[in-house]
Amino acid sequence: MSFDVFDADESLEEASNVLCISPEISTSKEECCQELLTRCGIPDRIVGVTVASSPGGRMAEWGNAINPMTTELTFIDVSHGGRSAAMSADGFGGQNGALVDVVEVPEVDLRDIGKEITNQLDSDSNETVAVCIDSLTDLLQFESEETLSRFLHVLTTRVNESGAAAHYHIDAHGHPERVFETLSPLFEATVRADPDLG
Amino acid sequence: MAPIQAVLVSSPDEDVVSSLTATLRDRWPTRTATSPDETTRSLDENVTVVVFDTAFEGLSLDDLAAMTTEQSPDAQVLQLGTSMDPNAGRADAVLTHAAETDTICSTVDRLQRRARYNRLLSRFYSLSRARSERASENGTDQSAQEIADIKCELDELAAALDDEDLFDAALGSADGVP
Repeated sequence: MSFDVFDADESLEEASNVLCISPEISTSKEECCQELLTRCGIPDRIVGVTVASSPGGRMAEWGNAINPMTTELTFIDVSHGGRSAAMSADGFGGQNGALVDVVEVPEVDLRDIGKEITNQLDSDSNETVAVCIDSLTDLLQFESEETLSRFLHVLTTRVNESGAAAHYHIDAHGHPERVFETLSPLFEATVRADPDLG
Repeated sequence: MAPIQAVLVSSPDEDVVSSLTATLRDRWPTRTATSPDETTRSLDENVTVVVFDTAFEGLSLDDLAAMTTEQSPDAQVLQLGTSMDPNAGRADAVLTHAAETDTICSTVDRLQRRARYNRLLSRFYSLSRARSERASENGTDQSAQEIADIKCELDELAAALDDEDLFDAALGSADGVP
């Protein structure tokens, strides 16, 4: 699939942090996510952050982005009142034979979420790490736009320093255009995968 | 022009004030206060670090927190000495009266970075938001360069702070003290 790249200071392969604007439930989101996860090749490890989505659901969507023999998966799974534990576990059970580790964060607390993510980035090893945040739209249900912007600067800085390749999903239909414009300076590149844009 | 990031040394002990001021004034504009009244008069938006001596009678950490919230919202608090009140508000850093000069300077320097990071994050968001609201207008927007420059400085500050300091500065400290 192809998608439009905006505001790119660097090529997608070189960009540590990419904002991905796509409809929340769509094949274009899935395809864009797969492309961004593998923009530097199939990673040794994927760190997925799920809020309204579930680890099992994300794994099912990643398909070829995962090498079941070598890809290590870690999920930071953020629980909250809107989603049950059963939904978190949905789809698990050694899917594709992949190794899966799930870290539960019991509520939407950006400090806790951020620390769990940066803990996953502290490795000194040479393994390639891809990070998928799903999604900023979900976090904006609980936090103000300014607080999210401050959190994202910390996170994008640490991702950049660690050499990981992260992307951050946001719902193309869930916010006014102004929100994307406000957040985009935090990222080295912004991509849009929205079939409605033609 | 570089922003003013002043330090306020607040202690009832004039010897402590003199010693600390001699240590700090070469690097930062330094104000002094030896009473609660002087402390409150010395606070304003230019004060970004308060070195607070817990030997004060009649002025607690909680009192100071209320004063800084009102008058110096970006100020970080360095507590000098241990607090006898277990319910006292948490400071951003704590040193004993016996701390070495280098330790005091490096701690104040760290707190100044936190304060600067916090201020720049606010400025960065404010400019980004304002620019997004003008996005549909025609004409040259010079704020893009300022946003890029602030981002560079934010990145440098973040690289020099550990995770705890970064999250404290960006989101407020864990117990809610700004």
